[in-house]
Amino acid sequence: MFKDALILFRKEAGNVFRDRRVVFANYILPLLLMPGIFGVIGFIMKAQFDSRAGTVYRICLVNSPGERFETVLRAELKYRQDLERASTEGVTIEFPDGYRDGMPGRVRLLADSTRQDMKYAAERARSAVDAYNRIITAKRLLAAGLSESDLIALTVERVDVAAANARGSDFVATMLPFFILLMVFGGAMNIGMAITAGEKDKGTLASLLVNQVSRSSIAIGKSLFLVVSSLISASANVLGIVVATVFMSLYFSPEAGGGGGEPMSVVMNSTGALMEPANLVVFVMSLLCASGLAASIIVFLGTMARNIKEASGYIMPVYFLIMVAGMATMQMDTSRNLAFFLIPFVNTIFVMKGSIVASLSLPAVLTAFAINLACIALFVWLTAREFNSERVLYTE
Amino acid sequence: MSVFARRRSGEEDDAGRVHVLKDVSFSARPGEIYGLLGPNGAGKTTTLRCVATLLKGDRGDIRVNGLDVLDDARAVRSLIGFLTGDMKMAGNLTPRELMDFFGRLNHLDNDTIARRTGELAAYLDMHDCLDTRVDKCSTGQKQKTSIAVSLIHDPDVILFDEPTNGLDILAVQTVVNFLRDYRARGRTVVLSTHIMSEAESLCDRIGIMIEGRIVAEGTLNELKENWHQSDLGGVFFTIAREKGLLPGSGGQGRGITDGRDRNAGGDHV
Repeated sequence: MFKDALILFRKEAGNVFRDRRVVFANYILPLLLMPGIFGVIGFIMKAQFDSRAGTVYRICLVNSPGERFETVLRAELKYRQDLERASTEGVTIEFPDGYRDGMPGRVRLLADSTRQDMKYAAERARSAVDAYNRIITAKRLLAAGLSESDLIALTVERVDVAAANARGSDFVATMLPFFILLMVFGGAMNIGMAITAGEKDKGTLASLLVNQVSRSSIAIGKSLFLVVSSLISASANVLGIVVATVFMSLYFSPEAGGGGGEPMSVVMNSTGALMEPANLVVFVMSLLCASGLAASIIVFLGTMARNIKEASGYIMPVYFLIMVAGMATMQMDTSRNLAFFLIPFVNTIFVMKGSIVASLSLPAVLTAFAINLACIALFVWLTAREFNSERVLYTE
Repeated sequence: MSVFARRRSGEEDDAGRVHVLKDVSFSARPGEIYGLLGPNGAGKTTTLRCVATLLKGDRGDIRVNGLDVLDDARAVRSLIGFLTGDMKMAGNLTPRELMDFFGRLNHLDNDTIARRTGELAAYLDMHDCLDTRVDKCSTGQKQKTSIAVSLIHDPDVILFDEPTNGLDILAVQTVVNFLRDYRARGRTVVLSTHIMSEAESLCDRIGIMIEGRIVAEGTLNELKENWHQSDLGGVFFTIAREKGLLPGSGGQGRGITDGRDRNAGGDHV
């Protein structure tokens, strides 16, 4: 049976991989698209940052305390004082009436919140007021024979007790499993529909069914090819993100929105420690399970559908369901409750999260794998049953 | 080698499903081309699909070389070559690759596949397109590919559903020559067609099929004698008129016309 499935696999691979447009759209485009999208976003953000940093803002200083504040303000942003009070064309920094350098008081900042450049200028002005405040406070403490540290009774030191290879990976653990799952399913959808319902549309299915190959082999062969296809597609997406992130961290400052590199910490976290081999194996296996499950579901639904349009109608809701499940579990910690590991796809997210943050229990992992493998077997069996039914030839 | 099909069912079952085949019984013998002749919607394709194990009947039985198509479906598939007009091939593969693929699906070894590919390519004159992607082949080349693929395992029984549909005159001649040659080799051929001249010139025996029933069967001469007609067209339209399928005969008409004088080929049903 498996030998026949491999024959089917080779035929699907030959037919799909030889179609340059399909290969470009499904495997190469994501690789180019991600750096492209991130690159454009990075360039836009950097250009905006450079533009805002280089702009000379119009400031109205009311009751200015004098040179000391203005020196601090100049360190924060370029400005000129030629603005009417409360104008939307700049920022008004209003000290109390009769304010003199070093006095306590309430400073008002007036700026147009609907303009991004004014919001930026107001933020810089706020930073200048804070810096000026610290100077005054330090001076007044000094006059009383004290320093800033004398006012602090307790200091807090936070110690991360997470495993060395898990530290700094919480962001990745939150985002990456969700994205990978979407990419695996999304990457399998188009080709999955093409090799199932698409065969009905093109009229190539009947020729397959009048041969000696068992219907289970057809189901397994198609699912197997789709697993490989979705893994290539997901890998292209992940690689695209990694390339984009590395590119952004190299070329853009953190303030400008760069400084990523997060996807790299799937295998190497922020401390530079490598993911433990056992967790890496679990991560890869859960990825394979997710691909297998996505492929078997898509092949089943595509086989059940009478044409591509109908297949799309069946598969898209499942995709949305996975998206919702992914978003719902995004902020959840890897659960100790085994019940979560009984839910297909959700368990994959938890296992991936757990392997990234090095927090996994063997029963949970085994439960997740067992459930996913059982689901894959179920959907392959359902597909084989569909192929054994004459319904598989219905196109209307 | 023989094909024996007998399927009966009611007009409509309790679930409201309309049965396409109501009373179909025929047998095709080795060294014979058996023709199923009828208008569109008569049930010819459904009959052949049942014999090819693609569809399952709810009553009756179909045997190929004594094997039941439901109980021994895979064994039956090893005996038959099935070709239908709406059967297409994966466009990105070449005829050679397709023959290799279908040869493997039929569990042939590499040497046999290579030998059969060579034989079929020579027989169907396919050497010019053997390594061209199917979607770049002409209609005739595609049809030759379909024939070659359906014959790669050298089947005893060939089921051809309107194999000349949409083909140009040269491609039609290729198919006709092939069918005659296969008959001469002692193989069983079951052919469905709605082209009178094709049925007259090719078929040893003909089953006329109307509305899911074989309403008349025999050799061309037997049919002409029994229905007192000089040609197959006359036989068919006499039957159709009797069944109320022609305008003015008291039936619904169903779009069937005596088109012998109006059709370009002069003999389409």
